[in-house]
Amino acid sequence: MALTLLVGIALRVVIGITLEYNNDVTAWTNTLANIESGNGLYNVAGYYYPPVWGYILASFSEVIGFLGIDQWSEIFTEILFVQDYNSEDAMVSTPVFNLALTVMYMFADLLGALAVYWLINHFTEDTVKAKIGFAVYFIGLNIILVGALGGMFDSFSALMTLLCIILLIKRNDFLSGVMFSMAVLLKLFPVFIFFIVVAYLLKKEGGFINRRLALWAAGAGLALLVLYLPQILEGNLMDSLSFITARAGNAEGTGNILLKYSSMLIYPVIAILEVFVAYRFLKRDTYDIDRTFVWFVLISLAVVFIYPSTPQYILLMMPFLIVAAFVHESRLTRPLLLLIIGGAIFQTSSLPFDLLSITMFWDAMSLDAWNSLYDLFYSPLLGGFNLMNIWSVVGAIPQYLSVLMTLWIILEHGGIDLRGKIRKAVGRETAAAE
Amino acid sequence: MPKGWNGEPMNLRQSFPAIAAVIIIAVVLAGEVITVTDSHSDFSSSISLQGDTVEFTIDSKGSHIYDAVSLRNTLGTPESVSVYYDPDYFSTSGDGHASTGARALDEGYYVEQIPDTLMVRGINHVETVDAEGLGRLMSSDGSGRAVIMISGSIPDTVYDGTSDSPILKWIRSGGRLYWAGDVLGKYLAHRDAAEEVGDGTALFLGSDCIDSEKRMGYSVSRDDFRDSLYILNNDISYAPDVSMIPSDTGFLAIGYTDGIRSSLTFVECGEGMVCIMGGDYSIRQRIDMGMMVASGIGPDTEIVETVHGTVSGKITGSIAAGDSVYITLGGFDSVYSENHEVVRCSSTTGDSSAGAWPSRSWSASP
Repeated sequence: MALTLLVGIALRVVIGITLEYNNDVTAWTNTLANIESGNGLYNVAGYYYPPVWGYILASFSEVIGFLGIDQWSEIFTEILFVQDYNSEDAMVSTPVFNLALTVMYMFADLLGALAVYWLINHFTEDTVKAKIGFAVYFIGLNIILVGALGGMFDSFSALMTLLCIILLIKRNDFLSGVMFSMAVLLKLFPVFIFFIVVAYLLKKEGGFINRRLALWAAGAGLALLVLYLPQILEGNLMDSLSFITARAGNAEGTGNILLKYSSMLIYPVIAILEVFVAYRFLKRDTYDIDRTFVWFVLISLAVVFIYPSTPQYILLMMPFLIVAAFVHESRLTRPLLLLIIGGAIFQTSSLPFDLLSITMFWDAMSLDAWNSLYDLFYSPLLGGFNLMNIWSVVGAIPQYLSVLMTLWIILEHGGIDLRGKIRKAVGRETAAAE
Repeated sequence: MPKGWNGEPMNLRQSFPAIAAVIIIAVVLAGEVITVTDSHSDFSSSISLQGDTVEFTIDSKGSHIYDAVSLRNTLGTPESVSVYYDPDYFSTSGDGHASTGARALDEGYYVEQIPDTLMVRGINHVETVDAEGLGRLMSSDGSGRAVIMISGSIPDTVYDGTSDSPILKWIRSGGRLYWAGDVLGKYLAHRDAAEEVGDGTALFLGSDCIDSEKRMGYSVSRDDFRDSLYILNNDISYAPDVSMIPSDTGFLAIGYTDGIRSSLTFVECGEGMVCIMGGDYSIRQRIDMGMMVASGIGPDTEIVETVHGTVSGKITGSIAAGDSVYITLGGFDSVYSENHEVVRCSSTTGDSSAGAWPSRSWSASP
């Protein structure tokens, strides 16, 4: 584990200090400026997520202030032209700021890896498997890149969801409820495990009137109230939900309109599927409810990502996929591998921007070379698509295949002979044609 | 071995989930408290005149880069700031660009943010006026007053498309108009429609020097201003072609430029001035606007000297004296700024450099 730690830390430090996708990180520097100046999270534009990530950033601001990190970003006039393309930005976060952010994400990744270790060890009592699970999570390239390169906070979302499940297994229902609300108010996707969590408590205790469910609901409710208290008092509750409402409300261009209406259709369908998954769990005869519960949590999360996702959102599924691969079904190592490879490729699709830090701050790459790379990535190649689009698709395909393969293996694991059914169907078609 | 709450030996491996959860809850709740309690008063700055130099003091929470900018020929921080917004009147400006997941940046939301934008720059008293209120405001002397208009069109309560319009008289009497959203003077707004005014821009700027074409500035106009004030917005749409401004009219063009237009242009108009902020609504345009209003920069303003450094806690420094010292913290991620006017007192003993007054009494921190 020491070697894993060393490799994981070294990779993060090197990537964090040299590479960074500036676009999201400068959104955090803007949020930090709003917080420190006294404008909070929602008084002025700049922060569009529910409040929990903003609160974590506020704590982060105290740490970087204490460490003497005095400048967070800079605008480079040489690359102002990039602002004409989509939402790219000539503002680049400073290497020292990037490193500090990466270190914070590293702590979340480390706790997440320990949670994976805990779950595998709990169910298998096999420390070797648990250590491998720890290693896969802590040095999984997609996880490292989402935080250290992309600057996105989804490893916190995965960590809080993991802790919500583990605390439930440990009968620490109140804290589990608190973690659930925090996870949901961090990035909303964990809300889809609500049905399976309720089903677990019903299955464990029997009936809706049970102490554990009440404690869990009290923890979730209290956390919701406490976390939203500033927004309730200041009257900007709706601003904190713009992540949902604006996505459903604003859409310009064919692609975005398609995205808007498809997401408006698909998420209610996913919610219905989640109820069905929870129902199947309730009806399942099992000698080990906890073990089956973790398996069904994976099913719940895999169902969420039937709707294709970016590499950061899908991080939520990754720890449960690792646990299930070591505890329930070893064939899941294949989709796991696809997820790591696909996510890592997808995460680097804006490569020229990832290299801005070493170009503008380190002078390790000339501006001419950077401009050539930018042209290579953003000039139209095939039918209006550029290399960045193609690179994204090349990463998105294995990433999405990993979701489909996970669901396939889950169904086969549940005794559904999909291959046989397909063979039969194809056979019938062939016979009918003959 | 440490003991748990029930007195039994604590197994760290078993307690890990609860410990991790408590750590996360502590970080989040601490952040919530910080978010609620952080305020403009966590920072402060002051100046005092010492002969030909000004001694400044900055007190900062956390660690930040700072810039103390000594300015000459400024207009001073305005005594009152009003923002025009009347949803019952026709507005020609469109929504600004909003990031994915962000609330739509329309005129109402932009106006809502202006008082908070100015508050962190030391201006606490901002009023919003409708078309009738604007009419009343512009019927009086404009000296020392600022009006922000982002409607793209001017209501018929102050504008009739002639040089005798109340808005023009108000500016010429010393008022400051900060304008964004569309071509200045081109649209006259009524309750239900807007009508086009031929040569409307010329009434304000002396020539028809603005068009509707969308443009961006890729280089810097006046490095000194951009680097000292950390100007952000490079959208130069609706900015005037300064080569067309009459030669007897003073102007200052700063920010980003295409060589002809700049993202921030200050043009003199009688005793007053018009500041045109280029581009459609954006976060960066709003931040630039806050800084321009607070700093009191005008068409004749020059930078005397800039002192740049890092502050963590309290710091003092000195800078060549001008008319005011604008202090800003955080660089492009501005967390605080404040304008301090240098006031030279003439005493009975004839000592012309007896002291300096800090910024206006209604600033958040002197």
